[in-house]
Parts: sequence; structure tokens; C-alpha cells
Amino acid sequence: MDKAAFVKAMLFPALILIGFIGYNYYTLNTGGEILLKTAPVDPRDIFRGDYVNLRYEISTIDLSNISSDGNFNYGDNIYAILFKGEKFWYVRNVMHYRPSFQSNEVCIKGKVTSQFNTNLIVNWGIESYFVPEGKGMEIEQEIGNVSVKVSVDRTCRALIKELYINDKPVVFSK
Amino acid sequence: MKEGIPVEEEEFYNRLKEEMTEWQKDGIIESTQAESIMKRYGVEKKTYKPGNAISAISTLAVLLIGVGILLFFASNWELIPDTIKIALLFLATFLTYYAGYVMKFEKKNYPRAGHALIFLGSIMVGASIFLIGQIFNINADTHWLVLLWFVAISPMGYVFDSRPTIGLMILSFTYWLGISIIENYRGMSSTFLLYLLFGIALYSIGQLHELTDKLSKFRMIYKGFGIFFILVSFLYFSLWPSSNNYYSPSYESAGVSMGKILSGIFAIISIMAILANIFEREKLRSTKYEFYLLLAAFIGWILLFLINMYPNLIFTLPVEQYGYFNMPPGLDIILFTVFSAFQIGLSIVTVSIGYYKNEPPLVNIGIFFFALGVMQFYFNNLQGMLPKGLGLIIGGILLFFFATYLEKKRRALLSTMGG
Repeated sequence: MDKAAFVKAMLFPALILIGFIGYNYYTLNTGGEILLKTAPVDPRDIFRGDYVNLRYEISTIDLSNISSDGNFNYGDNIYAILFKGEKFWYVRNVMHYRPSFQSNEVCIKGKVTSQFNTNLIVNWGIESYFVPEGKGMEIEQEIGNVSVKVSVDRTCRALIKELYINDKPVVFSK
Repeated sequence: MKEGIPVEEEEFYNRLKEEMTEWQKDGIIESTQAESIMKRYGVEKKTYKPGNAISAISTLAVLLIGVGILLFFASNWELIPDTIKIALLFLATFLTYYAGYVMKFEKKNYPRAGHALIFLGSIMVGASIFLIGQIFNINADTHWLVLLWFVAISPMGYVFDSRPTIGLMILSFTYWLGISIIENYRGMSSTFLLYLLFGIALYSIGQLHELTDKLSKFRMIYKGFGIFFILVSFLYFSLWPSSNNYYSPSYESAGVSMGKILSGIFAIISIMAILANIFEREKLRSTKYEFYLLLAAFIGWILLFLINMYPNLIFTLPVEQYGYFNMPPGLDIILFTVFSAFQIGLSIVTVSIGYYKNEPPLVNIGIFFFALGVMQFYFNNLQGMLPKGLGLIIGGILLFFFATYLEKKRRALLSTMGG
């Protein structure tokens, strides 16, 4: 194997890694920013290992209160149009396919992880917030006062940008 | 040359052994004839090769390093900014690959250590992907990160002639298969229905590698994993009927899903390999046992697929209404007998393939699963016929002698095969 062949071989994983970074960077830096309120969950589920397990108010959707284009089953993709309330963003309606939406709205894509009658539990892909080892307890204790700034790109993909406790950004001491 | 004269030159010995392996695969000679030839040249059946030990130790060492790197970065190393972390991982990954390349291909001074470093490089690609996922707070259970790792390292085993890297690639895909499908799969057979088909497809891919001389050396890694998944799945299915119920209907009752697409792909590969065993037998250097193995495993899968579908056909429930449904009386015994027969039969066929194709790993895997099959048969059925304590004592004694007998047989077989 000569050096040229080696370089060619290395290009493949390098491009994949760079593409992966670019994909996330795009969502984080070109997307619209929204602020979401977290919801309290069973404390035993909040902290697993080195990340905090987050759930949002928008994670639970009652289809009897929110308009939708049909029923949803476990595993279905779901798109929600969010509108801004006084401070946080809330679900206006949900659908199975990417919708068109107004400039003052945001679309977010998720997956239905549980369904019972008209109630849905949705995973939006922003349920893990990684923390330094042993620092999860600080957030766990304040979970009632946690909010999360999220960046959502045009494809409705969301990524966590920042986490707040009592409206102050979380900064971990070194 | 008279019998018993030792052959000094390792090169000659290796060449002779390679040639005889090929002759056995081509069906020119059988293991017993190979043994006679070896004896004629006075070649010892087992020779200590320090190189193998170095390879094994190097691989274990890099595994430790790799796991250490994964854990180290997973602990969210807060003292270093994210960009520096990414840069460090990039540098470490590609320098590891480069060092491996220099040692193995350019200077050729430490080929085995170089080989191990190339394997480490592939582990570090995974570490990089998971670290980037952590930096961007991508959900912890996101399965496609593992798929991305699989894709990124998939050509590396072939490019660098590295069987451990191909093994890592197969393992990463297997893991992805489990975590991606399990959330959507809820039939009686859980993920094993898919793993069975995956095993058949893997074995088939191993056979297809035999079509070319260049890729033939990678065949055993695919076949080994393939036969493992086939046998472990049938072991599961032989145990499953004792639960005496279905868990149904599955989530995947309608529409196109990843599980169905993958099942389709695996089934096509399996059918192609079965047909190739009939029409391209010479090219594949196939034995009839390989054909039996693939055909029987595939028929077993069809049977299981139909059993899995059965509740979906008779119950017309909405998807959200699911639960346990009892099996018709007597069906559990029939299913237990059928799938135990599949499991034990396929274990014996695996030993036969290993023997006729001179592949010791297949002999080992086959005997291991044969023993497991017999043991589970005993514990599930025979033990209950005796008082509890006595059942365990008799079982223990029987299993001890059975295990000793099997080990003796295994050694005898491997000895006949020349190592």
C-alpha cells in the first residue's frame, strides 16, 4: 500500500466526521432560537450517567386540545408548529409531514414514543443534556426551574443550545 | 521423503499447510488424507507461533486503550474547550492510523503492532463520533451514531487487510441492529427473528467472499459471526415456547419500516447464497453441508415468520390494543421439539462444515451450541421428571461426563484437522 492509497482511505472517515460536525453546526447556527420549559419527571429517570434526561411541556400532547391531521401511533414521525407565548414556546398543531409555517412560528420534528387514547408522548431529539462527570445532581435539584434554549433549523431538526436555571445560563465550575 | 523426517523450514510447512487447506476446500482431499500427508512430511500438528501471541496481546492492548479513550471522552472532559477536544481526537485518530500504516506497510518493521494500531484507529473513529454527539447534546440513545461508526469504518478492514477491523464493523452493525429495531419490534420473537436472518445473510456474505482469492481470507469472520447468530437465535426459539404465549400484535403491523426493509435485504442475500450453493458450487468451493445449513436455517426462519404473523392474522385489533395471547394447547411442545431439532441439527451440521472445510472455529462453535442445546433440553424437560434435588445431581453428573466426552471429541476432531 502506497501513501496515496493511505491518504485516500483516510479521506472516507475524515469526510464522515467533518460532515457530521457540519450537519450539527448548521442546525445550531442557522436555526431559529426558541425557549422551552422543562417539565418535572420521575427523579429516578432524571439523571443517568453523565447526562441529564430532560422532558418538556411540549413532550406531552393531548390531541383533544390541539389540532392535528390525524391519529398518531407509536413510532410515527411527528411535526409540530410552535408559537411563542409570553416567554416560552408552545405547540399550535401537529401533523405527520413537514408543514409550511409563518415567519413567527417554528417547526420541530420528533417521534411518538408513547400513545394512549388522545395523549402522545413525543421525543424531539433534545432530551439529553450532557454534563461533566458528577455534575448532574445540580440540575436534578433545580429541575422545576430549568428552561432550555433550542435551535431549530429549516428541516425542523432541533439541538440544545443552552440550559438555564432560574433564567441564568448553566456554567459548570472547572 | 521418509515418514517422520522433520521439516525445518517454516516457509515450506506454511506453504504445505495452506495448499492442503485449499485442496480440502476444493474437495480434492479430506481431513484424514491431509493428516496422512502431514505425517509423511513429519510436520508437527501444532507449532507455537510467537507471532500469533504478539497479535493477540497487541489486539487486547489496543482494545483496552480504545475502551479507555471512549470512557475518558465520555466523562465530558470539561477542562478543554470543545473545538480543542475535537481537534485532539481527529489528530489522535488519524495519527494512530498513520503509525499503523508506517509500521505495517511502509517500513514493515512492526507489522503486528501496526495492525493493532489500525484496529485502534477504527475504535477511535467511533470515539470521535460519540464525542461530537456529546458536544452537540444529541440524545444519548440515538442509534444512528452507531450506524455512522459502522459506515465510517466499513472499508477500513479491506483497505488495511485487517480482520479484527472487519469484526468490529460487524459488531457495530449488530449493535445498531439491536438498538434501532428493538424500539419498533414487539413480536413473540423480539429481535431474534431479525438476528436469525442477519446470521444467514452474514454466513452468505462469507461464502460470497470465497468467490475471489483476494477476499477469501475474510470469509471466516463473516461465517463465524453468521453461524453464531443462527445458532443463538435457534437456541432462543427453542426456549421461547416454554413461556406459552404470544406477545402480540407487534408494533410493526402495518406500513414500511426499517425492520421490514432490512429483513427484505437479508432475505434476498440469503436466497442468493442458497441458489449459489446449487448453481455455483464449484466456484464457492461449497460443501453439501453448507447448503443444508443455509437451507435449513432459512426454512426455520420462514416457519418462525409465519408463527410470528399468526396472531396478527387472527386478531384484528387496533395497534394500541396489544397483550399476551395464550398458545393453543400442545403447540408449545410441538414448537419446542421443532426448534430444538433445528438448533441441535444445525450445530452438528456446523461441526461437519468445520471438519470438511478445515475450519476449526466452526467445529468449536458447533460443539459449544450442541452442548448448550442438550443442556437446555435437559433442564427444560428431563429434570422435571425427577425429584428436584435428585434431578440436579443426576443432571450434574450427566452433564459433566457429557462435557468431558464432547471436549474429547472436539480435540480429536481438531487434531485430525491438523491444528
